[in-house]
Amino acid sequence: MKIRFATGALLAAMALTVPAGLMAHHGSAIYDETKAVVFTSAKVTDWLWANPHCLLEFDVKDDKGASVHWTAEVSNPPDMIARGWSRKMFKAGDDVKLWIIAAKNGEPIGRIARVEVAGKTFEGMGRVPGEAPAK
Amino acid sequence: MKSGSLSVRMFAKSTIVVSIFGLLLATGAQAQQMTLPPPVKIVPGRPAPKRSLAGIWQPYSGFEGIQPNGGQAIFSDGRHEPPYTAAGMEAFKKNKPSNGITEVGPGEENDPGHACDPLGFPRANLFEVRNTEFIQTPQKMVILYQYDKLWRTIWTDGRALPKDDPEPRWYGYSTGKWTDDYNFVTTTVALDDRTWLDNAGRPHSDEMTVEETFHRIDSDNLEISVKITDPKFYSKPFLAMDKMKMKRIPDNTDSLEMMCVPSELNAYNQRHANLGNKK
Repeated sequence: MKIRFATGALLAAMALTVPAGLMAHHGSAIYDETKAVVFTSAKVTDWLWANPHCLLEFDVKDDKGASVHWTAEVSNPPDMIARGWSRKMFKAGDDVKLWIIAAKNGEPIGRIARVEVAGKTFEGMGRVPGEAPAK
Repeated sequence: MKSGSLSVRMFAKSTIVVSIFGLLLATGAQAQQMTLPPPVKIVPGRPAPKRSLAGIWQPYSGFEGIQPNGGQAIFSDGRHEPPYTAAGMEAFKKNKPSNGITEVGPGEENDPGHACDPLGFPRANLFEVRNTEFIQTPQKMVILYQYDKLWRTIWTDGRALPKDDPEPRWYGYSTGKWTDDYNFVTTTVALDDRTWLDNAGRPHSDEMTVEETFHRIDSDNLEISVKITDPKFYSKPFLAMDKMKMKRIPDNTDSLEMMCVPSELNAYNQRHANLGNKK
């Protein structure tokens, strides 16, 4: 049997950034796990509190000032409740700061590693690449 | 460098930290959400009651319970593959999981669980084991699973397993018996071969028999093992779960719902996952 064992390296890399429990449903192969894209001002348009993964939709301005619509995921509601998140933590119009693990293919989708909303910081799905693990 | 063992150790370490952190947060978060009766305290160190699994149990480690990259004892890292026959390997190659060493992107995968098909058995044990409650009656053992809010019936009234090509079921037909005061062993047949064994896309045939062993260590600790016997797809029996440890949690624990909902899954795919598969 020949299976591409090189994928193990990817799994090892994922282990550094994504807690196992948060990879439960869908893999992270589509994401660039090496860095986080930071949006200092994102305007929330929708917050889907659902299985298999919660989704935050938001708009940001690109380098030319044009609005770009993004969708970013975290884990399922029980896992996110365990991290202090809730179904009412975002509402349309909220201005938030986001640390996003973005898709490799350049599409405006990603995984939320951290968010600041209403003056509070919440850790998301996995940690911000390059940062030391929480002690 | 032994990258395989290194990654497993890293997984283990990160999981322990995350699990402890998550449990601490979970307690606080759930308490804030609703007013619940105080938890019934578990007094550790007591001997196990004889011939009883009654109570609510939880995996010690989130990683071991959720098993994101394959069953606990067949973790998909290239070094724990089960012993496929030629037919088994052919079936495995047709499965396109989104986890494990053959994972593909969200738009390419064909995991039946991701279409909200029933996970089936033994995948109920080999993926997303969370709070698990055992209810015993004179005729049966009932297992309640938090994930997918489902139950299994294990008949203990002495009946035989069905023979002569029984109708396949997502969760099979199970009987069980105590082999001694602290080991409850089940046998399950008539399993629908549309389901996968685990998140890494391991297949099974309609000839599979699954044996579970629930070993009650003491009042607060339980071990679960799952043995697969499937001569059509695997050349010899193997353990897909090997003594996964569960701890007793209070009987008045209120478990959160966690279910696959087609409309929510569609929303996830349309708004997010499908975009990730664009070239």
